[in-house]
Amino acid sequence: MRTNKYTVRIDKEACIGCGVCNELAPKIFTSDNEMKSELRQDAEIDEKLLLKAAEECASGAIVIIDNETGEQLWPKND
Amino acid sequence: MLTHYKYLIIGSGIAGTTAADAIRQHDKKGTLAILGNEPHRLYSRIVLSKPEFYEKSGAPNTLFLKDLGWYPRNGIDLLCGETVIGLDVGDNRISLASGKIIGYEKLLLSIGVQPNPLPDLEPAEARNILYLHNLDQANTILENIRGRETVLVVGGGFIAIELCDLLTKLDKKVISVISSPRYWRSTFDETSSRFIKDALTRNGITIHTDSFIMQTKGKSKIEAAIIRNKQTGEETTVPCTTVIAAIGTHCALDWVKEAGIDCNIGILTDERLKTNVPNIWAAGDCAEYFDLISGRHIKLANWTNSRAHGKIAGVNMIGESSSYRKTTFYSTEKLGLAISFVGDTSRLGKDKRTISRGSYESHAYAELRVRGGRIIGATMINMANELSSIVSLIENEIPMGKHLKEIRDPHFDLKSLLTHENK
Repeated sequence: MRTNKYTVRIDKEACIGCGVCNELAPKIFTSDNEMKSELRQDAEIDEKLLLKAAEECASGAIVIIDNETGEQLWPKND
Repeated sequence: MLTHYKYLIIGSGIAGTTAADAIRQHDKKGTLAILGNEPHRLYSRIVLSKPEFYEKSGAPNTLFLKDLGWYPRNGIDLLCGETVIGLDVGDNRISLASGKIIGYEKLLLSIGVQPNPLPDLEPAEARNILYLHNLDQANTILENIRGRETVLVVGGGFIAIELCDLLTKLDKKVISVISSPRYWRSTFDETSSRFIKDALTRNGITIHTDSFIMQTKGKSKIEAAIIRNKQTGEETTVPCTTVIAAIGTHCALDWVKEAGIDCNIGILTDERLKTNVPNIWAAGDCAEYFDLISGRHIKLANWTNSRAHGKIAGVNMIGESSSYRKTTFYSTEKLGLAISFVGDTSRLGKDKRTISRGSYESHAYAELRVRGGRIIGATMINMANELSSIVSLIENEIPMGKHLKEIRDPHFDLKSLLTHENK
């Protein structure tokens, strides 16, 4: 999913379906048939909540890329 | 001097930290402490079995789930590296190995579990055996496997399979030793076990079933392990540089039992996660809670369950009366297999039976646990796309009725059972 500022995707292989993202940001995340995280088609991106969900994801499954710089903001590559 | 907290949480893992978070959503002022025996703030145990942890020298930025400032910002005292040695439920206080005494008004026990030690070894040999349960142990493994090529993994359950997958991805030669004739025997039937065995073989892992380690060779570092086959009595010397054991876990409950808290294999609670002692709750891997769905006490040890427990225990500690009614599940993709567990996965229970869905030949297989004509749990291999349907069937207590035979057929759509009238 691409917003003005970020490109966001879910690493499905990494996701364990714990639901923390859905709980923190229900307007951004939902669950698929495998109970894994999925971005809502009609997601309302609140950047603060998006970053919080990514940082609290125990499996590092929420990948956020800065559109302007191309830098992967989360998980950081350093 | 006695320190006193309104809320005291023993255990700094996901259950305890989530409980603290839940308490703070409702009570911003009550004094609150999280006490942990590890010297760390909340970290992800899931990351410990991922290659990134080892490739990034034990410090991937996904490791810690709370920054250090989160605790003071929320008025939470994080007391690290403390070991509880006693609990006095009459005076509402705990004693620590450091000599401190801490009083509480409300107490949460989220003390987790410990890995079972490998038996039959001399103390000098046992010291060289590694475990993957916490961050310090993961760091020890990291140091130990660096520059070494052959790792022997003992155990045939979840952590052992994760280790085999991890070490293979890290280009180590892996040898798997299990004491039973097949993998994950306590949970899987023969077909499910076969998926695991064949996946291990496909990934180049050498397998020794029905075997155990009699002895290790090497003093400060392991050079080989002597393995004995229980069926044939044959002894084999297997050169290896590291031995990691993953043969299950147990709850260390001595001081909990001594305090008069009812325990079985875990700390017994009701569906609200409350123990038999007023103002004491239990949550996470250590809690053997009354499960409203299966109608019995169960104990689960997985991240999702612990997190959900923490939330319920936290709100109940501030005075609510919430019941835990959740079908927890855990999915993992290891060795090229998508493995899922949902609800009550145990094969044990006189009134319970297993219905197989799919087959080894079709590369997708589930064991559906059924009781009283309802699905109460399942193990699934390469069937993760049916996880949400099975969760709904369990949570809505849908009677299978005449469909009990049909659900064996993987082409039978489980969603069709979730009709309006069934819900």
